Amino acid sequence: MSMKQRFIKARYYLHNAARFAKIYPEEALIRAVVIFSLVSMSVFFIVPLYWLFSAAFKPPNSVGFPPELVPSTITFENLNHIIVNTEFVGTFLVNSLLVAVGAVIIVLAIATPAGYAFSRYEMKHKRVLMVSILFVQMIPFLAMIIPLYRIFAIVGLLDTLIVITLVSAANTIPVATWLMKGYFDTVPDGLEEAARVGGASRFQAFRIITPLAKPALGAVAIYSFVGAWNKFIIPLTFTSSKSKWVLPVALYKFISRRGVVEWGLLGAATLIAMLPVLILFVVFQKQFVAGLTGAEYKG
Amino acid sequence: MSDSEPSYLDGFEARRETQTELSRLERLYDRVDQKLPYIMIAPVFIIVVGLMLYPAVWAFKLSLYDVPISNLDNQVFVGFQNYVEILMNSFFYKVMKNSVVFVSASVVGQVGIGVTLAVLLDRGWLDDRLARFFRATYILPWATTAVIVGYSWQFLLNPRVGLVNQFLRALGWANPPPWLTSVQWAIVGLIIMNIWRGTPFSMIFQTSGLQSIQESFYEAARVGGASRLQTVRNVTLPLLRPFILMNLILVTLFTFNVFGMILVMTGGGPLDATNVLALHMYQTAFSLGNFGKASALAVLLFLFNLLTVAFYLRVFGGVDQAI
Amino acid sequence: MSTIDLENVTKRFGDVTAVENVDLTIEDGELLVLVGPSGCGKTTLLRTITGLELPTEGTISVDGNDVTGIPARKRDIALVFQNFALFPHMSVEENMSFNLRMQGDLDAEEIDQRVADIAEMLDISELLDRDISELSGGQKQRVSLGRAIVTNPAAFMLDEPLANLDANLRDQMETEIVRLQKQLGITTVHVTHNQSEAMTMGDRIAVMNDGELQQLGPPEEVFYEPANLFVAKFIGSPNMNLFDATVDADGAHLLEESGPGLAVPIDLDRSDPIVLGCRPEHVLVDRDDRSGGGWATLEIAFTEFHGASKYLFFDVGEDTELIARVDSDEPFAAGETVSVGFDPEQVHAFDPATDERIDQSARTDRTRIAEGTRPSDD
Repeated sequence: MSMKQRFIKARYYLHNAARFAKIYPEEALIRAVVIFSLVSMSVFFIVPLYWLFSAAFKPPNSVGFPPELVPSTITFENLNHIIVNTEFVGTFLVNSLLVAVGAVIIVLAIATPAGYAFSRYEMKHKRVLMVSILFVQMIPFLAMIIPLYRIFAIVGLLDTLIVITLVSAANTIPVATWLMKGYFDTVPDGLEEAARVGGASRFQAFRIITPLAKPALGAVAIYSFVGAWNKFIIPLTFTSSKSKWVLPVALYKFISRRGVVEWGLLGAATLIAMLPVLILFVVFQKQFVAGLTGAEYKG
Repeated sequence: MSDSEPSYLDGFEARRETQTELSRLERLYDRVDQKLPYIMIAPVFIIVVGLMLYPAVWAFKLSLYDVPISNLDNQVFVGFQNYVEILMNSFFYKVMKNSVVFVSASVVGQVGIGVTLAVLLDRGWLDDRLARFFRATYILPWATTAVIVGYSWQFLLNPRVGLVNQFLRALGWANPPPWLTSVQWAIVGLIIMNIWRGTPFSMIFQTSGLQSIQESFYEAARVGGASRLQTVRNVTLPLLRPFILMNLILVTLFTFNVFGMILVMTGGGPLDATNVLALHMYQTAFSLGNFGKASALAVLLFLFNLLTVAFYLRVFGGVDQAI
Repeated sequence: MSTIDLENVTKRFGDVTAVENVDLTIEDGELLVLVGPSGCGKTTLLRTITGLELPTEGTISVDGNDVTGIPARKRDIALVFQNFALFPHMSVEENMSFNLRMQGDLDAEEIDQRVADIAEMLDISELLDRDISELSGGQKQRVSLGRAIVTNPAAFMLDEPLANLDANLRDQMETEIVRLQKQLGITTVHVTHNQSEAMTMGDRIAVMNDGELQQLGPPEEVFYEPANLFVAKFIGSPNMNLFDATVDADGAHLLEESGPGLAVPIDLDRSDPIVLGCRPEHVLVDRDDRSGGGWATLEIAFTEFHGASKYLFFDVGEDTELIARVDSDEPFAAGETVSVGFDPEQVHAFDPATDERIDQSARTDRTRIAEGTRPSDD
């Protein structure tokens, strides 16, 4: 579109809006207020992250007074420093990826068949069983942390990535099971039976029908990935040696060790720590929303 | 029937006979297959019981013992002494007060703003594409790890380089609050941060609630002559009630357990002005090493969770409203 | 091909009894229709035969061999579902070959050949490469039939396969299924809640209610000699007129509390009250005043036009109506006063205590049934 066309279009909109405001002043006022509040909420939600990330591209020590919203000069010095001189990418990012991917695999492997079984089969006390797994989630995680610490100390898993993966997955499994059950409920009943009458065992029928739940599998995968990726207290408590740190822990130690905060470096580090989530957000926006909230996902 | 029918029957003489006997292997396979539903849900319960329920019960047991960090196996049964010590100490009440302020302000803010945004972005107010765009810009905080949330708000609320105070100065507030270094203002800063983090969840939750309301209700209201605000008040909000109840319960449970962000941002200070129950419990366990007392605090935290849920259910009328 | 025997089959879900003590033999090559209102247990019974449900009590045998404990996948019984249950992530061909692939005793070439043959027979050859989502309702129905018959099963179970089709297509598929069944000579059980579909299709009809078998017999028998009040009400449209009546030497007397009453000259050796039924098409309507002698004078409350026929509604007492069915070219109109009587040859008597049919000694003339005047139904 040429500039001129754009200009004409904008004038056209403006003209229409003005006419609308003249005819329905009340309605126009409501609309203006709504749009204004929505835009200010956008600013409220985006600026905090934007500002931290933008610090990553500002020259060191230029972050100061007065704050500048758009960096006047863009530098990759901070990012370069974090990537080259620290273990953020080499160790912590890799650890975080291992934990998150591991959690996704465990959650999918356990929640998918369970959700399927809850959706498809009659079982004794099904309702009680389903509610009880959600009820357990009501117990504050903090209450479990001390016994878990003892258990892992006894079995010698303390300070390993396995523990973080396992506990992160366990945290996600109840909601993931409900999510899968909800999706399988939307798959027509007859399919499993058609498969079984046609000569498939229950297990074969499950394998035939699971591909139909791809959207829910995607949502659950994202939910468990982001959940595990963002875990902070679990790895902080159960790991100690630096080689086992995941990104949130590394960020925390990074600041609390240095004392004086170098905002530019922090911005660079947080940007790296958020990158996979940002990528997921851009690529799978729809599943991302469904996955994060555990809300019912409508294909 | 015409003669041109294919002679498909000819190919069928090799029809399978109905099997009337199962071999031993087949019988075994079938027995396993019949139990498959239970086999499929078993891992969930193994994980839930092993990694959640069992530790929780253990935590209750620990709360009745004195567990010195120096020798964890040297546990002494002390009955409810841990609880008595906690409840006799005025520090607990200070922490409780902080928790209640933090939780209630956060819940009101998150659910209030969340519902408002969801309704404004619902059908009828805005063009669909515009609504989708706004919704997308509101989501990211929920996917941000507690550490980054903590730091980005520490950065924003920094009295000197912080964007917030710069903004307030521009609005004409000559001496904006020092936020996190001030005993009065620190908790306000935390609440703003928590609302920032938690509102997206409420918005998405309410959006899925709104999607379950059938278009015909709105049409009926429009035909009946209701204005937009009347429709929101008389149609949308009543139908959203169960979702709002569920939202309140979930957000309250989340918020009582929030402390990662606080740990990063203020560490509970200044002068414990931002120390909440969850953080207090964590520090009692892992800084002071008093596992028994920390477990007792965890049990108390659980009781508060239960009480809140019971309170909501009472106010809103019954479990059925929530499911 | 196969005879299926059900002996004392009972199925309970917790405290709920879905099927109660059903004894039933499905003869080799017949098309048996299981009919009843929703929730009567007909679908559960069907699923029990296929092996999807295990009976709580009783045995199921195929050709004399007990198959009660054999799982569904090992029984050579095919099932067609109400919602078609086609796998949406497979093509038509993959759907049709599914059962053969699962049973795994044919090689790929043979499977292709059979699928092609059956597709040709069902006239869906050109659809084989399509996705399921591209098919119309009728095409889906054919594909699901094809998937079931491709294995040449011992028996064929149809669970309300026509319920999701629109009316025109339903009539067409009724005919087609019957033709296919006769052509293959395959033992078939067809479940439906639609009594007219049952009468059109069935060699025999099994009427079920509350989990129990009410009556089993050819459509004519079920229509002309309903075994009990339930069957009388359920079969036939519009519903049979049923009234409490007293009996004496002159016959049955009914509708006496609300007017002059109606006497039906039937011969019943009984003094207890009965319930007397007469199908609307057997209600006699005459414009001449024929008061007395088995006729009542009633005013037509309103009429309903049904194409070839017309229903006349008469108010007879509070909330009770009498319905008569006449040819639609008869010029009856609402408000008219006419004489109404029941054809004594075509009334049914039931015992109000047991709901069972009472056979009348006076009724002998059954030749007209044998001549094959099937009830028309719209």
